[in-house]
Amino acid sequence: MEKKEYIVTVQGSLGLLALGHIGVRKWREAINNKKKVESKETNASIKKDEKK
Amino acid sequence: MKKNKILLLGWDAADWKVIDKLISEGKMPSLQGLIKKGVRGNLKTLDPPLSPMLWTTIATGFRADKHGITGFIEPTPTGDGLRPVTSTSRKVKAIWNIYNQEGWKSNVVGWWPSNPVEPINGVMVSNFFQVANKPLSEPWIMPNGTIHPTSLIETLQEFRVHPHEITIPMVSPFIPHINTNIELRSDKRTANVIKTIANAASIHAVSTYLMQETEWDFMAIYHDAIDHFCHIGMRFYPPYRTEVNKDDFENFKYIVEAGYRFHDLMLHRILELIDENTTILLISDHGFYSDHQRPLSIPHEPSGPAVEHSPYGIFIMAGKGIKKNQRISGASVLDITPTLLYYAGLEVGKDMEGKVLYQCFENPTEAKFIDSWEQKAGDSGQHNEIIREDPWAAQEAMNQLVELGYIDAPDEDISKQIINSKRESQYYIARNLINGGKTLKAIEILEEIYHDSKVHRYGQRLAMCYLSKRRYQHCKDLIEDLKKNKDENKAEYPVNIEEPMYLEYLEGLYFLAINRHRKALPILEMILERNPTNFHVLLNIALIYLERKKYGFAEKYFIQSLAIDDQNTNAHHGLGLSFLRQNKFEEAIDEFLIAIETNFYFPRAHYHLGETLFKIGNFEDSSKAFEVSLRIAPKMIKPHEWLSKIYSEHLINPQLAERSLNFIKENKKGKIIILNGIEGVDYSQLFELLKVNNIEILSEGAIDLRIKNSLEYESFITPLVFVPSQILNTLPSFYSYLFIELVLTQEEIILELEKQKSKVETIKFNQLQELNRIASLKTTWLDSNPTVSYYALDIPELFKNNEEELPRLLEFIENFQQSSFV
Repeated sequence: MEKKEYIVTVQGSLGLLALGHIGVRKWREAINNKKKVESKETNASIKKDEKK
Repeated sequence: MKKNKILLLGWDAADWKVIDKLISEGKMPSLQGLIKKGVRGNLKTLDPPLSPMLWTTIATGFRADKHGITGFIEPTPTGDGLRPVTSTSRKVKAIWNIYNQEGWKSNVVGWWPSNPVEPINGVMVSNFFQVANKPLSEPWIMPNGTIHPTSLIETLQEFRVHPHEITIPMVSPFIPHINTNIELRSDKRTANVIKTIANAASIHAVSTYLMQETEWDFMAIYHDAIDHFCHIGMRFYPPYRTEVNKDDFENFKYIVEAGYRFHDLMLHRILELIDENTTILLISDHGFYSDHQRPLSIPHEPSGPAVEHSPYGIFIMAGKGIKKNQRISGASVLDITPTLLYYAGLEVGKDMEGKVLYQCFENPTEAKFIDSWEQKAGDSGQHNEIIREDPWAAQEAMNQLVELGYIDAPDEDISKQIINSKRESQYYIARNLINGGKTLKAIEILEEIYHDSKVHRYGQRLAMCYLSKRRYQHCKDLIEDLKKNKDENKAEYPVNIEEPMYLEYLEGLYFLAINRHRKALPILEMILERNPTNFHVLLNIALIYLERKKYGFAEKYFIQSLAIDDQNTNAHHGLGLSFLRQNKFEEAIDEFLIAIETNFYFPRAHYHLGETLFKIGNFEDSSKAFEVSLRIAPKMIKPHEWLSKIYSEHLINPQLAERSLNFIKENKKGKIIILNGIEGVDYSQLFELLKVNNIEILSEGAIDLRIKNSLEYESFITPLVFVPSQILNTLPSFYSYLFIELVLTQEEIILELEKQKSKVETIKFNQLQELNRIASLKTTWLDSNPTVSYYALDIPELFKNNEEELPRLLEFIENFQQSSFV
């Protein structure tokens, strides 16, 4: 099967949903990754504030 | 060699009118590609066009009275409430059960109804899988009976998409203004679109997973999203109609198109996941009106939204051994299971009501048959016990049906609701029986539910049944009864857009049925004046003009009716006949071909096509058309008359000419006109009047001689004989009969009998009971002789107005004498 490159955003798209289970998984991964990044940033910011 | 796999994909309510438009605009490329690889056609639905009933017909090959799924809801096992219809109510094996016992592995996703899931060799995901019953912040627990095997619950539940997860970019193709118009985000229609997107995404995600990660021989996937998008958005689908709010039109006009395009995207992925060893069937259970036939309002009755459903769904089949890029006709939802069995090399159940769609295959072979799959033992993976589902999940699914308008919100008085629902379910079965030609069974049901409830819809159908079974007195009495309680029903059913002015319409049909065209026509024209787009009224007016040989008028009304419903077989056939009788042969051929395309199994269209082709000298094609009409209706004699002429005078095929001649000799015994009345009533005055007008009544003995002569001499006058109802059942079956009922009211008959009582011993004085018995003898005979032509001769009317009535009778007799024998 031909491999295709997709950019998956947290907003997702109908095209992503149309990919089926792979699309749903990738979309949720993107959401989770963003949450992790945001959580790390929040933690870093809290630590930064604490240091201050 | 790899085993052939079968993928059955269901798109509820998908319709060619929308699809063809989008394909022509390059907006459904995946579907376009699939069509090119296989065959396409219409898939005729059944009445009533209700999805749980139809998808079960598709999966079983049976109608609702046999398969047991009669509507959207059913009582709970304890009988103290209602719930969405469940798989445990299905009484026969589904295609996956038959495959199961033949060793096939099946995956079934979302089929309606499939909860609780059946223990098949494969995976089943029920139609409760995608239903979200709690906000996203709360645990989303899978209801019992949603997934088989249960070991897959954890894996598959991650593929459910919650409506609250759907984002603005996902909704904007449906409702573009959602980006800028914040108010739209809280609109109920937007919420329904979001829920439908989430449900479709859930079904699709679990399907692609199972396609890719499990072994399967057969897979069935059902999507209800197109039906839902259409119920939400079809009224806003372009072109704009002035009755629709302009702002709503601008906001919601893309819902339908985006829904179809979303399905095309999903199809693209599905096609990526199958190989050349997989045959795909893509079907819908009914269509959806998308043009000027879109109703402006929905009837206030259960299943009212079904009025938006059109009678033809879509059928596409592509794969190994299937014809490429061709159109097929004559397919019905009943044919899917027989065709799937045939394709898998299995026997077709003789008890199934559909047929194998041989026309799809490149090299079809004869199907094998089995009496019934129901009796064949084996591990079918059916339920062996009743499983109760999660009532919360059931309740949420009920709410969804309420939101879509398919069912009413629950009454406070639940017992009343259960009784009403049961009646409604009986009503659907009756309609399904009528649709299957089992009118007598339907009459029994309708008489009971109408008697108990006086609901007009039930009485209306019952009156139509009486008409079709020629129970004219019953019909007349019922119309009177409906008139009496009209006002009571008005409050309950204020809108009836299916048949506006239906009491008048019924009365018009009643007069039409008893051949009183002059009384029927003004009634129908009056209805038409107030409802100029009523298809049925236009069609009936056209048929009256056709019958009266006013072909120009008939043509005009058939054209008008086709402007409303351009897929109606009867209208195309009628228009073709109007053209044919005006010697407009090319136009006639076009119309007959369209009639055949909309319904291949309509023998009269083939027959008249044959006649037209004969008249333009195309004997080769003419013979083919007549032969097809005979394959559909082998007892027709008239095609043999044409064929014997063609084969002996034009194509010179003595063998086939002899075949047709022999058939005619063996089957064509003659015609008889029956004057039917009551023994003991003195009709001598009437017979005298008829005799003066050259209509001779024969004695029984004279008939035999006349019929014998008729076969020997060309100058043959059809014999006319008085036959009292009491001896109708002694008439031989091999004649063609014109049945003229001598109509008198019961009071008039009793009066006549009293005059004669000294002469007649068999008729006693409490005659009403006896008269009813005699009337039922007549009804029974008419029911068992469906091809008999009928004429009601109202005796008092004849004497009152014989200048008008007598020529009408003579014309009818003349038409009968000139008509085909069958």
